[in-house]
Amino acid sequence: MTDHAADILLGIDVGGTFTDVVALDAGAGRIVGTFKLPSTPADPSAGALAGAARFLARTGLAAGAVHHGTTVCTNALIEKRGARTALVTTEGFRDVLALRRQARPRLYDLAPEISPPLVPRARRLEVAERTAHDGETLVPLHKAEIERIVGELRALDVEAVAISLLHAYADDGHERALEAAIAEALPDVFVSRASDVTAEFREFERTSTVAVNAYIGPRAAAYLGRLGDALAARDIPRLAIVKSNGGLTSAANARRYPVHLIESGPAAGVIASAALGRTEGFGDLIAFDMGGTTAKVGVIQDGRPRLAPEFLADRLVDGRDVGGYPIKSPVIDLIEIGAGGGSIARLDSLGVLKVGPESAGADPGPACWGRGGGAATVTDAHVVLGHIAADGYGAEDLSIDAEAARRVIAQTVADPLGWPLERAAAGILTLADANMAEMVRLATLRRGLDPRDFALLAFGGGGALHGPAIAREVGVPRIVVPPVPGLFSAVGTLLGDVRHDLVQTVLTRAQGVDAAALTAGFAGLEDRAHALLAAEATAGESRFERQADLRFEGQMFEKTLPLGPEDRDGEALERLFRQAYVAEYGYDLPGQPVELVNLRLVAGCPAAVAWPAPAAGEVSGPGRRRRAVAGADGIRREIEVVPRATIRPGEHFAGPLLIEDFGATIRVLAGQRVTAGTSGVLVIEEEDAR
Amino acid sequence: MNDAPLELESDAVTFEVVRGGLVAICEEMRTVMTSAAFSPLLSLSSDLSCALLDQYGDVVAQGNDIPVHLGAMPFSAKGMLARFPLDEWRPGDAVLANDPYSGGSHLPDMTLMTPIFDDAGVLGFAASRVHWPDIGGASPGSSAVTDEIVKEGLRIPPVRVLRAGVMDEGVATLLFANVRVAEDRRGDFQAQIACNRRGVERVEALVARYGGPAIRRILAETQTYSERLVEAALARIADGTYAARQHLDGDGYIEDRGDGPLVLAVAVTKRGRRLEIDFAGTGPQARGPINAPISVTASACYYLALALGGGDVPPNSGAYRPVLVHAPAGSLVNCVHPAPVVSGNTEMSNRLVDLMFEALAPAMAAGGIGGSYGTAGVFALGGHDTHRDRRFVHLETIGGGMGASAAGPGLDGHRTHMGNTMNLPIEASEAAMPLLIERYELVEDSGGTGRHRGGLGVRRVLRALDDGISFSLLFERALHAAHGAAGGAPGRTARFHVERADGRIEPLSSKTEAGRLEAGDRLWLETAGGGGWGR
Repeated sequence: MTDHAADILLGIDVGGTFTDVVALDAGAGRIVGTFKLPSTPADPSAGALAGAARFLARTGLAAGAVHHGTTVCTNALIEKRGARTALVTTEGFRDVLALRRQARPRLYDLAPEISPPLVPRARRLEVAERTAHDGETLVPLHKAEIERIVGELRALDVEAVAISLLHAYADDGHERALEAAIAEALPDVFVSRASDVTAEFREFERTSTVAVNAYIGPRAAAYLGRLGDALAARDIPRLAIVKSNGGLTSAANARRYPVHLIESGPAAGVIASAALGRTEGFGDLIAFDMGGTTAKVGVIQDGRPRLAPEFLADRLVDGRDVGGYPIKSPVIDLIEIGAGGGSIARLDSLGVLKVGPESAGADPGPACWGRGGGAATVTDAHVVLGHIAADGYGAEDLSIDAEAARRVIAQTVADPLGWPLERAAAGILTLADANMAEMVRLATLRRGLDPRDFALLAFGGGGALHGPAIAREVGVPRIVVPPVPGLFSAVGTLLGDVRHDLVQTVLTRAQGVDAAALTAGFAGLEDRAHALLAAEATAGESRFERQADLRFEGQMFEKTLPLGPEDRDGEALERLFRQAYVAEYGYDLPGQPVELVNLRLVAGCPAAVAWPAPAAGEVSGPGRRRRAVAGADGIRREIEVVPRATIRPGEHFAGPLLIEDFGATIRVLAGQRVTAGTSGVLVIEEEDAR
Repeated sequence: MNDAPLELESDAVTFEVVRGGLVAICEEMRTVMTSAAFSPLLSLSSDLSCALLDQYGDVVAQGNDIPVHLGAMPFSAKGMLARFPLDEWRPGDAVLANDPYSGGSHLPDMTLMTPIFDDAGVLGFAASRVHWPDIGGASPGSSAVTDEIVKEGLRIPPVRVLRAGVMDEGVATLLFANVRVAEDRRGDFQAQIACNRRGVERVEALVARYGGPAIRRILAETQTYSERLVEAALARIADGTYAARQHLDGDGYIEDRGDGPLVLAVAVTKRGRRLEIDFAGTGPQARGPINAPISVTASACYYLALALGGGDVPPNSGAYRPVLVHAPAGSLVNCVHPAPVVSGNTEMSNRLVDLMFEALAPAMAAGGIGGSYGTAGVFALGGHDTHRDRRFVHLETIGGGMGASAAGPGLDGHRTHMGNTMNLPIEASEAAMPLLIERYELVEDSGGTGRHRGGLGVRRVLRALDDGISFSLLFERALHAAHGAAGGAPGRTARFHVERADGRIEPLSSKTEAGRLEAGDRLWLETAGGGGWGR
C-alpha cells in the first residue's frame, strides 16, 4: 500500500469560482478521482487543502505530491497587494520604471492611465557604479557606497528589494556584491537581482521583471510556505508548482522566482491540451479555454505549446489597455480577452449592442444564478435560448433561475431595441463569438499560422458551448472536446515537464564568435541549470536544449532558433539565421552582418505520465431527452439533449444537439456532426467538409 | 441612453461584428508590416499606421497607431483619387505618394493605397503610411533644416507603383536611386505591399460572406456612428467662440521670443453639434521647415475632436465631419509650395493641439487640460565609430510632460498627443554607438504646479566617446512654456546645452543644426514639463 501511495498525485487548479481537484495514480496512469469545490479567495490554499483532505479521507490512500496551478502571484500584482519594495539601480536611471518605452497605450485619452511603477520614486535608490555594454567596469562600486545603500534600505523599512544595474547581463559583479551585503544585513527581506532572474539586455523590461519578482516575492513565499507546511502535516511530502512556461518547478525554486508563476493557472490548461493532442494524434491544436470572466487561446504546434519571450502582466484594467508590466521570461503564448460566461451585454449611448469586456464575475455573477446579478450576461443569453437548462449546470450548489435571465435581457437589451427576446439573446451570443473568433485569428493568422491546419480543443466551463461556433467562424475544421472539460486545467498540472528557461545576452557579431566562446557561453548557462535542477525532485534524466537569438545588425527584433549539435560556432549560427530569414520573409540581406543577441538554454525532465485514462464514468441523473431550443428567429425547435456519460465509444450524432457534461455543456450546431472516440474525446466536424 | 439612438439600416449585430472586424484587420496589417520590416524605425519605434478607407477616400477604421498619420490619411487618399479616378483602378494596383502639396504630410511619410473590389467595382482601399528612415535630401534621415521642399528629399505625387500586382520597375528604379541605404528601403517597401495585401484579402473575405452591398452600407454607417458620438460630446460644450494665441520657439533660422512672426492664432467656435476652427491671424509660412500643410493642421483638429469625445470614439472620417477647419493659405498652418515642411508633423502638430486646448479651456468641463511638452523631441547623431570602425546614424524621439486635468496629474515622460513612437533601450544604444548615456530620468519639479501637477519632462545626458560626432536637435518649448489650466501654473521650459570636456557650458536652441561633439563632451537634453491644473 505505501509503495503505491507515493504514486498518487493530486492536481489542484484554483479558479475564481471553483477549485478543481484531480487525483492521478501515476503508476497506473489513471485518474482515480475528481472534485469541484467552491474557491476560498481569502486563502486559496484552504480550498485546495480541503480538496486534498476530502479525497484522502474517502479513499484512505496517501498522496505523494500535490501539483498546483496558482493565481496567488497574479492576484497580488493585479490587486496591488504586493510587498513594500525598494529598487536599487545605477545612478541616473532611477526612473526607468516610470519612463517605460515612452509610448502610451491609448491614443485619444486626455488622462491616459498607465500601469504605475511597483516601486515609488522615494524607494528607488541610485548607486554610484557603472558597467559598459561589454562588461567593462567604468565606475567601480565602492564598499562605502554599498554601506550607504544598506543603511537607506534599513531606514525605508522595506519587505523586498529588487536590484537592477545597467548592463549587469554583461557583468553581474556589482549586483552580486549588493545582493550579498543586503541579504546579510537585512535577513528578513526578500532580495532579488535582475541578472539572476533574467540576464537579458533592455533595461526597462529587465528591471520590470525583477521589480515584479520582488514585489510579489514575500506574498508568494508566505503562500507556498503555508501550503507546504499544511501538506507536510498531512504526510504529503512534495509540492510542485506550474510555471508560466508550462513546466513544473519545486516550491524552493518557485519561491525564488515567483515572477515565473504569473501565468501558472492558465498554463495548466495548455499543458493538458498538448498532452491530449500528443496522445490522440492532434499535433497542431488551438487550446480554447472559456471561463466565467475571460477567454484564453494558446497554440500548440507539433505537440508543443507555442511560447512567447515576453509577457505584459496586468495589461487590461476594466478592459482598457494600461500598458502592463513586462516580464522577460518564456511564457505560454496566451491571448486573453474579457469574454466569459459573465460578460455583460449592454447598449452604448447610441443604442448599439456591445458585449464585454465588463463582467459580472463570480459575484454576483449572471442574473440566472439568482445571487443579485442585475446585468444581462452571456450565460443569461444561453439560458433564454435553452442551451443551459435548470437541471443542466453541473455545479452542486447552483441552480438556474431562467425567469431572472429572461427578465434582465428583456429589460436591458430586447425592449429598448424593440426586438423579440430570442433575437436579443442570439445577438449577444453572436457578438461574444465574434470577439472570441478575432482572438483565435490573432493567435494564428497574425502569427503567420493558418487556422485551417489546426483542431480547436475546447475546455473550461464555456469552451464547448462556444467552440463549435467560433471554429466555424474562423474556418477551423475540427473541434475536440476532452473528457471532463470543466476540470481540464487540474489534469494539466499533473502532466508538465520540469522546465527552466535560462538566457544570457551576448550582443556581438556572429562572425566573431568561435567554437570555444560559444561552448563557454552555454557552459555558464548549464551550470545555472544544474543548480536549479538540484532543487527539483526529478526522477528522470535532465535534458538540455540550446537556442540562439539572432538578427541582422540594426534590426530590433530577434529570431529564436533551436541549435543542433553541428551548430558549434558563430559562422554556423549565421548560416542558420539567414536560411530561416529567407524561409520566413523571402529575401536575404547579403551585405548585412548578423548579430548574436542571446544564448538560451531550456533545461528539463520529462513528465511521468503522458495522458491519463479517465476515471470510470458514473451514469446518473436524467437520461437522453429532447428540449425546445430557440434560434435567432425566435422559433423554438426540439433538439436532442444527451448526457455525455451515456455516449458509447464510436457513437455519432448529427447536430443540432446539446451534450451535457459535468460542469460544461457541448453545443453541436446544425450542419456539424459529433463522433465519440475510444478514449473519451468527442470530435465535432462540419458535415459538408467530410 | 443619453443620446438619440443610431438608426441602422444594417442588421445591428452584423454591424457591430463587421465594425469590430475592420479594426482588427488594421491591427493585423500592422503586424504583417512590423514583423517583416527591416528598419528599426518601423519594427521598434513603430512609426507606421494602417487604415481601411471607403471608395471616397474616407477612413472607415484604423489601428492604434500614430494620430498625426491617421488624421492626414483622407487627404492623401483624396489626392490619389484626384489623380486616379475610381474607374482607373484595377485589382492588384497600388498607388504611392508622399507629396505634402497633394495630400501628404511630409516627405518621409510614404502612403501606399491598394483598392478593394466587390462585384460593383471599387468598394474601398487598404492603406498604410510608413515613416521611411530616409527619403533623400540634404542629410541622412531627411530631416535637415532647409528653406525649400526640393531640398528635403524626393517628392512623390501620386504614382501607380503596382499594376495588377506587378511592380512598375521604372518607378522603383527611380525611387530607390534617390534614397540612402536603398536595400533596406526595398525590404521595407515589400513589407508595406504585403501589409496592404493582407488588408485587401481580409475585407474581400467579409464581402464574400456578407455581400458587397451590406459591407458598403456598414462602411458608411461606421462613420455615422463615430460622427454621432463626437456630436454628442460637442453638444455638452457651451456654445461660443474661444480664442488663443501662442508663439513657436523658432524655425531653425530665427528664434521667436514672443515678439516675432511665428505666431499661432486660433478662434474655435462651438455651435450646437459643430466645431469651427479658424486659424486667421496665424503668421505667414516660415523660411524653415516647421510649416504645416493643411493635412497636418486638419489632423491636429481631428485629434481634438476624438479627444473631446472621451478617448473611446472609434477613429474614422465620420468623427471628423463635425469639425470645419479654416486655415489661411500661405500661412504656417496651410503652407504653399515651395515651403519646407519636414518638422510640421512633429512640432507644429503638437503645438496646435496645445493651442486649441488653451482656447477651449473655458468651455471644457472642469477647465480643460494643461499644455504638453509640444514636440516629438527628435535628436539625430552621426559620425564615425572608431572602435567598431564603421559609420553610425542615430535618430530617436524623447517623451516629456503631458498637461494635467481634473482627472489627475499629467503623464510623466511619455509621448503625448499627435505622436506615439517608442524610445530605444539605453543598453541597445550603447552597444551600437560610441556614446555613453549618463542620465535618462524625469526632471524633478518640471511639471506646472496646481491642484494636479503637470507631467514631468525628461532629462537625457549623452557623452561622446569619439571625436567628430555631429548632432541636430528638433524640439520645442525652450522659449514658450506649456500653459496651465483652471489656475494651474505653466510647466518648466525645455533646456539644451553642450558641456565641453573642459567644463565649458554652451547653451543650445531648441532647433540646432550641425552641432559637433568631441570625445568627452556631453549633450544635455531636457524636455518641457506639462501645465498644471487647478489652484
